[in-house]
Parts: sequence; C-alpha cells; structure tokens
Amino acid sequence: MMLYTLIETLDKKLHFSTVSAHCDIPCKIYDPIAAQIAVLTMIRMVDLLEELKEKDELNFDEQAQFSRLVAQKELHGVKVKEEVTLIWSDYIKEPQLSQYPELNRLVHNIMMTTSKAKQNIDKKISKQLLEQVNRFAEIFWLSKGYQTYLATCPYPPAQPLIYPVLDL
Amino acid sequence: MTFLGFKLWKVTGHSMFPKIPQSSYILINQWFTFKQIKPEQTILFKHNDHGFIIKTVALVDRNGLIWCKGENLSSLSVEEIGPVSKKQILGRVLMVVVK
Repeated sequence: MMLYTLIETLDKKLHFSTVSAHCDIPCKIYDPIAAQIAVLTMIRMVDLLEELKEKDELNFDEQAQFSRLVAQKELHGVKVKEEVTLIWSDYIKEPQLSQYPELNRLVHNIMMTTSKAKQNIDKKISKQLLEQVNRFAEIFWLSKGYQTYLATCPYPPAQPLIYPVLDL
Repeated sequence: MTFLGFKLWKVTGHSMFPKIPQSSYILINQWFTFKQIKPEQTILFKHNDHGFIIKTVALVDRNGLIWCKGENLSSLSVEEIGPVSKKQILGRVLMVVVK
C-alpha cells in the first residue's frame, strides 16, 4: 500500500507509460439478471425432471425429453458461472470489494453450488444457488446506488428474485 | 524512464484480474527477455492491433512463437491475440504493485 502510494506520487510527476490488460470492449453493460434467469431455468428443469421421475417407465419421447431437460440444466449452469464471473472480473473492483468484503467468498460459493446443482437433480441445492445469486444481484445493485426489492417472478418456477428499484 | 532495463508501467483494463487488477503498477525488465520465455510468465509486448498489452504466456510453440492469454473470461482469447514473436516483447513482468 505504501509502495503503491509512493509509485503513484512518482507517476504524477514522471507520467509512466500505460499498458493495457486489454479486454474485448469495456462496454459497461452489466446486469445480474442474466445469471438470475439462468438459475431459474435450472430450477424449472429440476421441476420438470421431478415430474418425469414420478413415472414408472419412460417411453421413447419421454427419454428424449429427459435428455433435453438435463442438457438445458447443464447449459444454464455454465451460463450462471459465466455471467457471475463476468461481473466479478469486469465490474467489481477494489471499492466494491472493500464495501462488501463477502464478495469473493460469495462468488466462490456460487461457483461451487452451481457445480453441485449441475451434478444433482435437487431442488434444495438449486434454490440455495438462487439465494446466493440473489445476494450477488443485491450487492451489485446496491453498489450502483440502487435499492432492491424481493418479488416472486411472475412465471414458472415462481421463485423469489431480487429486482432493482429503477428511476422512471 | 528506463533504468538498467527496468521500467515501471501503469496497467489499464481488467483482463488480467485478479492477477493484476486495473491501476496496478508493474515493474518490467527488458533484459529478462533474453532468457527463455515460459508458460505462466507475464509479458508485456507490442500487439499489432492493440498496442502495448500485458498477457500471460499460454504456450511457446515449436516455431518459437508465443501464444498468450488473459486471466479471466473478459480477455481476448488466445486465438484472437494470435502468435507473438520474441521481437515484439518489451519485457517480463517482475513485480506487481496493487492498490
């Protein structure tokens, strides 16, 4: 920290060259809703898989449906990881980390719970993932100065979701 | 300002997070490039399209060309960055000073 301040002071006088840790485009378009919807999709897939589980035997079409549901659950698990990682790496910086010290641990927990939710057909785990992603969304919006509220999404799987209170 | 091959640079952009967060200062030494470049080293080089950039070495192919990557998903991919020749390298990152 002291070394950084010293170098920063020197930089103000000497103007060091800058080098880019280039990312695609710093487009500044970040929204955790993509991750939240991906978790909802995972929960919905679990619900539909549970319905299939109740049958004694799956016919040919139902077997195809089973494959599609599992594949979509996997795909959206990858999406949760991608969307959360993107915000974590591109948007979250030192000020947000200082303000919300739980962030790094929370993101790591999201990664681990997502893996668990991919490995199992278990609504409890998927809902635990939603709680973590909702907390991530809450921190994201609060860090941008927006209040949030919790409401049940008006479509299946009808789970509680964090939404930002936006100005009209 | 270079002294005995050492030079300080300021980093902009997020592709090296969390290894090198934005606004960090890095110390590089251009003489160290005479030594063999190996995977996982961080190097500073002049890219034909993107100017001076820092990346982590992913691999050195049999033709001696260096393929680089970022440290997270937002980075340009190895393929998008393309091969880098030793002549383009300005130095190896020896120290990172973070905020």
